[in-house]
Amino acid sequence: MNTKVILWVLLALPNLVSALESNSANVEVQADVQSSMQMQWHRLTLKDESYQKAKSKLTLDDSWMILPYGLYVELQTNDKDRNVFLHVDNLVSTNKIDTIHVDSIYISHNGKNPVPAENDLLILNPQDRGLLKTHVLLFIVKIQPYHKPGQYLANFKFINNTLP
Amino acid sequence: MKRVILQIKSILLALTLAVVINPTVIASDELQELASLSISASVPPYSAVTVSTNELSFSVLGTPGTYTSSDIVKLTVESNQSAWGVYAESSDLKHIKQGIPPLPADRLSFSVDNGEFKPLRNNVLFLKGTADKETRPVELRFQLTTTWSDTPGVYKGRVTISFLNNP
Repeated sequence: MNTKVILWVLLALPNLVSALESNSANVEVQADVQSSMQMQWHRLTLKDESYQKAKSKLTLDDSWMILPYGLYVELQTNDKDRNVFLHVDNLVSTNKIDTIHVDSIYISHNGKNPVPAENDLLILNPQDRGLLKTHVLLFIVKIQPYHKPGQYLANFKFINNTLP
Repeated sequence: MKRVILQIKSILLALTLAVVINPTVIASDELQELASLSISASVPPYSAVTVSTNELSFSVLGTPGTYTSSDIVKLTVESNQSAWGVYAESSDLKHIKQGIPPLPADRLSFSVDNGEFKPLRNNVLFLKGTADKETRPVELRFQLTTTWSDTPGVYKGRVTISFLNNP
């Protein structure tokens, strides 16, 4: 009998104590932070200082032609699994007859040496998480004899790829 | 034996008449202390803090910034203490996955009855009262500030609201 009473007291004691301790209250907090990215870009022209600054870093011979426009891109993400690439398509003449294939197009990234545009250019990688990344991109054509003169249109795409 | 009983009856009758006829007994309008009783009442200190909800959630769906929770916590304090105060503090909000830095506690801020938002640093005193003043419930609103450095995912933590006598 005594054992039963002691057991009951032991079991009831924690509950009694917590019932008496009403001079504080807890509120559980939950925050659901979603993956997020912001990106701003605009076209650069010859008059832009950032265009001229990037161009001044390049030393190219006459077999290269720097297109008179570029891109300024600013982007940021909180997601370590997110990559952003720049994809460049063939240049297409305004009459839509002639093209300059992407394998003749190169990209200078922040005034660095040109890299082939046929490979999508990584402009945001997992190491950049949380950082504000800015890019000045100039487009350069490796002139080929078969390229026809004329006005060409460029088509660029930003590709957002989330790693599995 | 009969005689003894008769004598006792006579004495009782005489006593009854004496009580009925005696003017000092009948007409007295003065209260006389017949007995006293000591009462000792012990009023224990009492205080209670209650909240309308035990859960608070933030949905940070857009770009990092300051987000206000849609949950409003109604706080009621009851106390017979002469002077008291209510404090709030928060734990860091921990990511449910291990190894990811938490959101520091001071990223949470709160306001009382639509007042200015204050960061939830260590034990912030936000409400005072005294026994002679009736208390009414207050509404607490909470904000969370996130940055680009915060890894996406679910974070959990706890806000503790404590009562303290004579703050």
